[in-house]
Amino acid sequence: AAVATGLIFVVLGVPIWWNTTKVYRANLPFTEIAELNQDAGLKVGINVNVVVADNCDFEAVKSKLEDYFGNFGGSVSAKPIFVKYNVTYSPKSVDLGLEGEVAGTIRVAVSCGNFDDFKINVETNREISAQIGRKTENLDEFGKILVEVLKQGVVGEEMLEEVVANIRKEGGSGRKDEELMKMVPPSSEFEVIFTLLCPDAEKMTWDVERAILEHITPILEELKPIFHFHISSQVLYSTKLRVRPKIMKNSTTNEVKYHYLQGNQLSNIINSIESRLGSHLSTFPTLNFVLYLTDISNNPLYIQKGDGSPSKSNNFLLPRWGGMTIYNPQEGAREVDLDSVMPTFLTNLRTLVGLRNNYPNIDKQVIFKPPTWPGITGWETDYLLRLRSVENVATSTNTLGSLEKLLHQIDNIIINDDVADSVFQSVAAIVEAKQAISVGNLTRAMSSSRDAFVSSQSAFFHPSLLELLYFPEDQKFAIYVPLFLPISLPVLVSLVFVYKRYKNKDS
Amino acid sequence: YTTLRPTGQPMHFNVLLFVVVSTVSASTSNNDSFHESLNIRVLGNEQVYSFFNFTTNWDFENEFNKTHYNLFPRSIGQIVQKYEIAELHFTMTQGLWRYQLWGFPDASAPTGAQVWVWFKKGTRNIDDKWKGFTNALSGTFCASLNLINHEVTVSPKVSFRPTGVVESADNSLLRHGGLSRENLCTENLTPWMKLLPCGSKHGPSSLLNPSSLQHSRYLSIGLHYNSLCHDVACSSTYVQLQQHVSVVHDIRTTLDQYPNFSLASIFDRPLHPSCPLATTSHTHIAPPLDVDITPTMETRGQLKYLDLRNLNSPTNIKFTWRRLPRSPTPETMGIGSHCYITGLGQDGGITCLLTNNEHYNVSIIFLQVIPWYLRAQIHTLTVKTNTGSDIEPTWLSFTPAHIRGSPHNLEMVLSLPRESRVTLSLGFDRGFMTWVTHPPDANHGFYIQPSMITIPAPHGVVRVYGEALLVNIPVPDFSMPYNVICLVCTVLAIAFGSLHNLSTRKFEVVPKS
Repeated sequence: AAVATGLIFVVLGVPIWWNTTKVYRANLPFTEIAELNQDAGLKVGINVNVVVADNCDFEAVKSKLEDYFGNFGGSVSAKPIFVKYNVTYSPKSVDLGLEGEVAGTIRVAVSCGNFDDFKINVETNREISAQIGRKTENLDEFGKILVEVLKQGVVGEEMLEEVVANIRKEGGSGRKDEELMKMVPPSSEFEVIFTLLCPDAEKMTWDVERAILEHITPILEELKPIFHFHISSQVLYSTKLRVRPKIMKNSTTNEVKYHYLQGNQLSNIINSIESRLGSHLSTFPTLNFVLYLTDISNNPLYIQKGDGSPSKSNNFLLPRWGGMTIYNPQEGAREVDLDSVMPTFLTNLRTLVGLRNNYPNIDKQVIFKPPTWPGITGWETDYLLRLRSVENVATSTNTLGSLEKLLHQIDNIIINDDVADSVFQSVAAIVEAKQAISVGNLTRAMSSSRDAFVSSQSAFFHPSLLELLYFPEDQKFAIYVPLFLPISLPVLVSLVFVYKRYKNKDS
Repeated sequence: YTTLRPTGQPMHFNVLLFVVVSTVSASTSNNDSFHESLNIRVLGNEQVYSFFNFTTNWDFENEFNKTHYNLFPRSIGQIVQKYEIAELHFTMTQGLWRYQLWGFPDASAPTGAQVWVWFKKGTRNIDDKWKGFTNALSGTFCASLNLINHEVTVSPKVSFRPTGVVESADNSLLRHGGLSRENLCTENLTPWMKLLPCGSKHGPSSLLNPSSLQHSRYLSIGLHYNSLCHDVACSSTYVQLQQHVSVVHDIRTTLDQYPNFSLASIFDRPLHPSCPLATTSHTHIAPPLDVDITPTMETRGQLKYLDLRNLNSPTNIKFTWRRLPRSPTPETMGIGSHCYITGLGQDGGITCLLTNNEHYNVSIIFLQVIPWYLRAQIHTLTVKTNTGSDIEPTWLSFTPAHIRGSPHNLEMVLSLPRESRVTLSLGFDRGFMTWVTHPPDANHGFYIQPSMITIPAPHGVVRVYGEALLVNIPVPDFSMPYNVICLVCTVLAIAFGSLHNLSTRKFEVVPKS
């Protein structure tokens, strides 16, 4: 009878108890998530279309470039990304003449001429026009530089690597940390707020609507496939900066020349105005562009540069937050001259979205043509699409990995079917985005990677995960002890008794 | 200085029209303007009532869809646009306005928080929008307005009318919610002040010192957004945001020699010159006859008037009594309301005493919202005069509650006979809530939102609020589930132990020695 009771306990009791108290967890693709996280290198495919003019030796150019693209193809497997150049060569006569307008494809137009050295011009669309001189020994140098232009300039391999390494916490080279830090975090949408800060409650007019339309909207239109921005503006009166500017005096006459703020004072400025800037409506990251009008007692006010001279732009950038410009109005002026201020904000905006304001200095023969103001070049659009897709993929992979780790560490997390759906969607989207990135289809890569990001975030931050998280373990103990302790004690004692008798019988 | 008084004209509520014509013209280059005013009234000889009004008007073409803000606060504009709101009214109040002693306030508000909103015509998913809106407002004002859920939300049929122009005034577009337990603290006042273009640095708002505001008998803040017409034909409209503060200070507690007092002794600060952004900025004072005011102010009718734009430096307005005041004389109030809870045990009821001191019959709309866990029974509703005769409501609407859903909603139109006291009573049963749905500190009791009396007046309506009522409903012993577990387990363990013993022990007959 004692054995029977023990058996009932184990056979019937334990499964019933297990089934009624277990935490519901929908099936999750753990193996896929683990695979995605262990995947060593993200394959990035770059399509390059080299078109050689008829006056060049097609075969010579092709073989030389093939050498270099082969060498730089990247056989280093330890890197978080793996850039592969799919280069096609064609003579000018059979060129389709798409003039570098296909997203994701870089067209290199090579022509030969009657001059000594070569020239490489990066155009404002997706084209690099290269001219080779007569001397063939230039070809070696030319190939090397052209590939460098692609790697460092147009594709920005190092930045791609750093983004992924940073997300994976692998610690990259650290050379691009500054740029990375300034870039806005991945998000599906952004708020952009232009704020005019008037320390005195004097009415100032600023035609911000027109200025935004003229200076900011063109670039936002071009960024539309990558970022979705909501723009608004506001004027805040009687908001003073809670810092005391220092005074620069004329050494001979002892007159006040100007007032200035030192670099270490700038962080305090933001703290004092931050509470009035935002609203509580959207949960998307906000980019703030603040224009501060100097009050009469401190006019003119400048930001001091590192070398002690007053800054000309009077602007500073706060990474991931936005930019602020100090504006010294003319005495009696009632209107802000926004045309002088907006270009600085545009520069800030370019930095914040991840674009460079200074092109890499590779060789004196290389010229990057600046975009028609205000705008961005075609290859920059591609660069951002690629960068953001890679970032989204890495972030969502990382998020899913963290979710998996969390589930293994904490048993009290419920995974309901909604969360499971999001996880499955995210995994599928990551796979699709990876495929698209590897063949260089940037539009599809962007849209799938964004889907992956959104669904991985919604899975990770789903409120249902927390439902049982705050149920303390000791309460379980308090509930189980009154029943299980008095019942299991006699059962255990009699089982021990049975075991002893069984042993005695044997011996 | 005219206090609003009921007209006594019998009204037909189905043809209640609302044409609001404003003479305020917004006339700056940005099409927005800011107006500020302060009205001070001495109530009896012990209290001072200060009413601050800040108005921001903004002209717009066709649709209010601006994203570039100047004087109008961006946070409110974004909320209104996102949730497709045509009209928004929000008040938070600490204390109870004593209608019988103090007369009508410039803006009436119930104890606690109250929000009512007209959504735009054609708004979809109004209930979701209402939920999102209360959450957004909750974040803006640091108040627990997110607790306004379907259990406290009603859409009264006749009590509320839009105060401005709306496309449709159908009550399906109206949502009203109240939280009587919500306290008004400095943390609510700070975000409210942030909406003012001049903050608390200039004009009347310079007096809004949080600590002196909290040190008062009654404090209420309000925020009202609506659209208004420029002219009678309503060819063009503008949006208006009004921000109110009503505060009643007891002058006996001030530092000055009682009964003399000054603004500095009440608010701890002098009055600053007007906000430079304000188009108009003035102060009206309604002093009793035997009070001297320094500095001397322009007299306009019965009022003292001061244009703050002419002020050069911070000024302290002093009130000196020429003669010691007599004991406080209660203002003769047209309509009064006093409500209380009756009953013992499971049964209970609400009784309201409605007084009409006027010399004519007054039509009123009575609104009472009762939570679902009090099962109100409409057949117990009685309306009697002090002479004992029954009053038949002209119109009555009663929406019974859904359990864990919507509250009871009693709305009726009554005609109060002249110089009478009408007793209105309604019975209810106290229901049960499931043990997890109880709020923290359930033994504190549960609030019933104050009853509201709406009296049609020449310009809009006058509202009289009753007291927020506190009811106790049966509250379980919250340690009970654990006690039950322990008790049941003990019984089971004893039963199991003895059975186990019986079935596993070997019983042997002890041979007789």
